[in-house]
Amino acid sequence: MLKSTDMGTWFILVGPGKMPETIVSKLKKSLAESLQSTDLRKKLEDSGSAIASLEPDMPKFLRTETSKYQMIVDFAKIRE
Amino acid sequence: MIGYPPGGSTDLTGRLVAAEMAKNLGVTIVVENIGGAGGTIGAQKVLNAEPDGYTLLVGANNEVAIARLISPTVKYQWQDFTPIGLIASQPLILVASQKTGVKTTDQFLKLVKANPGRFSYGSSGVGMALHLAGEMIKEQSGIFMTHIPYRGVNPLTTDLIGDNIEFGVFVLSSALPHIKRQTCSNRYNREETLKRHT
Repeated sequence: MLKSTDMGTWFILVGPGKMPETIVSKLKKSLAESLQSTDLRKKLEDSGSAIASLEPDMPKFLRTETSKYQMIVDFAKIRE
Repeated sequence: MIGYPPGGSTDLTGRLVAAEMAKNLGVTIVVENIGGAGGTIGAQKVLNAEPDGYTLLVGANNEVAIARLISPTVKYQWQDFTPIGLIASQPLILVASQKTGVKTTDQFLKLVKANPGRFSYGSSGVGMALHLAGEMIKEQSGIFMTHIPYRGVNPLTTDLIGDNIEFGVFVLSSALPHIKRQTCSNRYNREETLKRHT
């Protein structure tokens, strides 16, 4: 069932729901530009991170990840 | 906002990105740590804030995607956030205590397969990404180990170094110092880098 699944940890920048599109685009642009900074890249990589490649479809990414976690949770019957 | 106390991988990542974005936007960004309940208290606080761009969360998959699947006290789901973008990812690593003598994945599988139920692995808590990774290893390789949830990685690290538990799953960055550091004289045998997520 999970043969080809992989599992890592990732870090994401998010805001509360229903943010105005103009603000979202401004922040997206700033994040993308910031992640190009040699200094920031080096510091993140030194901490063990791999810089994320630009993910154009965030909802798709989050949906895929969440359904993968759901499979593992179901398998192991994890409940708090 | 960061859903963990200062010092962990999410905190470090958040602070680095905040500093760079502050420069980029020409504004001051204040980093606030609201730790507790696996990052979900800070995440909920961000969701309660005005969606005006002045309150943002640097979150990990724990509190953004996983927590809701496990804990009935988590009222939000990933769809409630406005995603700005992915920042980075880190591989997870399975480490073995010195006493096990395990140095490779093959040795690990052989040992655990031959002794079902005899060994335990630790994670930073029930339903954390590290716990899910441990369960994924069990499912993928058909082995059985008991999961021991710790209150964060620090007590787990102590128990592994003290040979009180056989295996542990870590975010690479929090295990590396103990694998490398000479003073620990290789107390951790680096076991396996779980497939990197990118």
